[in-house]
Amino acid sequence: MDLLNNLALGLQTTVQWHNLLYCFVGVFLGTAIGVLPGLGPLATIAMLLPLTFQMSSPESALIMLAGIYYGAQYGGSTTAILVNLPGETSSAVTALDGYQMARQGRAGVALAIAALSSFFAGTIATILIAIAATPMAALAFQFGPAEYFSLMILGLIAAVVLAHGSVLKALGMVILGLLLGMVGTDVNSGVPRYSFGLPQLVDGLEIAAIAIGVFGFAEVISNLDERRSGRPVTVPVGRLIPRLAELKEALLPAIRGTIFGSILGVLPGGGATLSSFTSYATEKKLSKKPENFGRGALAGVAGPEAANNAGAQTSFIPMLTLGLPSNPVMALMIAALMIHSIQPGPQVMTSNPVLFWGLIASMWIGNLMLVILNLPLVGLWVRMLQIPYRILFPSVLMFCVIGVFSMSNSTFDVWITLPFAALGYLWRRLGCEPAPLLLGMVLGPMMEEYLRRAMILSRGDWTVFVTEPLSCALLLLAAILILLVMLPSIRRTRKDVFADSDD
Amino acid sequence: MHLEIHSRQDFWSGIMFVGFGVVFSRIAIEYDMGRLSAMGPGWFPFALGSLLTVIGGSLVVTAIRWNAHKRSAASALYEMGEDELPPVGWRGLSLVLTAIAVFAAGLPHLGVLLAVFIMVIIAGTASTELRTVELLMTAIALSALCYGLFVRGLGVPLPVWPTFVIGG
Repeated sequence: MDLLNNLALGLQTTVQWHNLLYCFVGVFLGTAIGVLPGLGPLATIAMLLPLTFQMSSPESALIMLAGIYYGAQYGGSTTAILVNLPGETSSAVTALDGYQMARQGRAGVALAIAALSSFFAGTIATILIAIAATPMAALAFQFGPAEYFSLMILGLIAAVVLAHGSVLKALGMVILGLLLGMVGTDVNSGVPRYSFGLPQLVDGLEIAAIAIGVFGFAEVISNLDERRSGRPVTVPVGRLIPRLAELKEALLPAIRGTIFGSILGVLPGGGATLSSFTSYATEKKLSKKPENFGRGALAGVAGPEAANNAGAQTSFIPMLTLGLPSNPVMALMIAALMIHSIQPGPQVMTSNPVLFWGLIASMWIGNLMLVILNLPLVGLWVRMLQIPYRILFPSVLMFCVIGVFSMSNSTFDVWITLPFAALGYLWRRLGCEPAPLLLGMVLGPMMEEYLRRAMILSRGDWTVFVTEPLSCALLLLAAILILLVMLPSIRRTRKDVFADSDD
Repeated sequence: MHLEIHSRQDFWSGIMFVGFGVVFSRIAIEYDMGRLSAMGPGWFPFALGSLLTVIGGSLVVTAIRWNAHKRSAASALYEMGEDELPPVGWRGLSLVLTAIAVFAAGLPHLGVLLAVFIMVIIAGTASTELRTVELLMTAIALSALCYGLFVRGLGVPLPVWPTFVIGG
């Protein structure tokens, strides 16, 4: 009964009053900022990440960050339901039927169902993580450098395939990210690379600063273009408590959504987005009244909300057990761990059991808090939604610049965000999605290291990647993925799926 | 017969990738390449830079097509399609970037209260629905919030007062 012991250890960690407080603060701040239109989970986390740098214990920092993550995700759904302004693609699906429900005066029910489905999915996904973590980490210990390298190739290819738009552009962004990851001292030779004689660049680029530039500032500039004016029109919330019949209607979609989310969330790339789309499409197909979808179908809220929360949660599995990020949010989590000098990977579970199991238990507590917190606080979120953009965006800038400054208490990182804000804006114009870039940045140094080690061990023999069975299997999978997106039929569906999300 | 760019987005993305690829691999040449069994610091970045150049190049090639005929109605439509580059909002871009730069440059000398105040004023003028009094109030409120939350609350070591007041 290792599992129960482990979970008990985790719960002990989480229910310490200061960790509960951090979890609460994280969920609260995450929701508050996630509610604001145009700020997705990634921008929210990048903005709030520096708050955790000052914390003494890494588990509290990670617990708070995780809280911010699901808070932000839930906040996004609230905005999607109340004003039809989804902050990011995974809540775009929720807007389809959630907003229609709101227009019919059932906003409260939609919010409650969204919260309850998320909580349900979160509970199941937490248990899944606890079960999967130990064998995954054991498997990871079998990995040599060649396997790790091939796994990263697979992960990056998957991220490219699942990214929006052109595969070639996403591939370019990943490689550009890998190159940006090269900035700083080469660990093997001690040679500073791409530092242009600047001592601040010898330690490499600060990933959180890049994220704030590309996702925070560039987002603000783009929003200014769209002349977002006035305040969004909100609808009355109405009855919050769902009726029994409504709960019954939501149950099966929530269960199916949880299954999709849990599986797809582990995949690198748009796990949460893909799972909510899959869930929506399935519910529409299974429904006896598919014509109700898009007109306020409850299943169209319950399924996708369960799916995106389960996906958000299981995306922690590769990060915690392999030390590999499956999405940019996890890349920031890894950055946060490194600040507290913890190298993510399979050894964390044994060397830092309190951190590991504490984080897992806090996921469940965090989800519980979301339900308890969000339903009574709906009125507050509605008010936050009514802040005009002309006041909102200077506040976002203030939080971002102070956050970036506090990363190393110098203005250097603030300067670094400038070119990346401009680049982030340019990339948006060019239709280059920046999310794969962030993954590449985190993985760059690791990939180089594993490639080097694999080459040293094989004495420069390239074939090692295909003669080692495990590594060969991973590369084959990556090759299959590439072939799949090249197929014309898949290409078309892929275009359709992503076209839907742009509505 | 003439060249036609049928996707400006792809074309300029390609040019950008080629630019980054060439710069990164050109610099990588200066580092020691080593050999396969003992890679030097230049090997991986050079390989990545070259790969990026190739990817950028293929984007450029796929974005251009030879057109043997005069512009057909279909290709004219294509050009006006979704791939057209949206115009750049220079006003928002330049004001927001200036605001951040002024904050970064000003913080060590002006202190955080003034630096945040000035940043908010500059950035705020980017809004299309500017209201002077409201912007001034926002700037004052945000400076105060910043002091209360970050300086007092979280203990971020920010310079608070201008050096010309307390002496450098």
